[in-house]
Amino acid sequence: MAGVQLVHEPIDATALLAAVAGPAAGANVLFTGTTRQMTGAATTDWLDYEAYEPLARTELERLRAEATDQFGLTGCGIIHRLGRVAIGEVSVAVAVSAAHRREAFAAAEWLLDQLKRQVPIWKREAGPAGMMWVHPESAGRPGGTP
Amino acid sequence: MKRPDKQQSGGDARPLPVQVHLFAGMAAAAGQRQLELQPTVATVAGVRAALAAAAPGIAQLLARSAVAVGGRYATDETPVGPDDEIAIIPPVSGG
Repeated sequence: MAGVQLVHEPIDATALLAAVAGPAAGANVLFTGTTRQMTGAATTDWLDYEAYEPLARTELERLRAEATDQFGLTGCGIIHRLGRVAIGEVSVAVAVSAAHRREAFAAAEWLLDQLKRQVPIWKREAGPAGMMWVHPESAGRPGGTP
Repeated sequence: MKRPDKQQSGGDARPLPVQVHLFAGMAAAAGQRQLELQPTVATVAGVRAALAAAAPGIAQLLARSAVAVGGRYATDETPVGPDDEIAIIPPVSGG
């Protein structure tokens, strides 16, 4: 079964999908998040990702274990890239396998939702106006602090 | 059990130097990735207060940030010591 990784090189999403496959799986879902050039009228030239790596790994492992338990997954792998990610390149890949498709789709979506709220990784957007770190107003405090 | 003389009494209440790690927009705003603080209360709340005083420019972002101690998300009541790795976690934007 695939694990969790933080990498500084391009992500091989196909290999991640192959790593979660197995005889118990009847459904395999691969999600990749890629660097988007246009957000409304704003242009992005590239993204730059930074992590607090020890806690990011711990949180990704926790999410992987919770998803495996909650959705009955037979395989689950998460890779997040760090450093500079060009337009069209993959910044995050999540692959899950389950006996049936509903659990697999639901688990992949749940993992992305949680990753975006809980895991200490930040992006910096480079565009015509310069570079800016993204700290969403709507996100609330990470870690689920009451 | 108030101890008005805690500044002189020694023990846990004495100000301790702690190292705090900053990331992303918070490191950019503070102009440094790590700084030493002397919180007057040896808890995460004490670290928050000391950091806001030392770097007023990041106070607003700090209020929206979590704090991790020893590689785990902590609460304001979590105790801190000089050997703990303390990290400020501003709102995340991975994915």
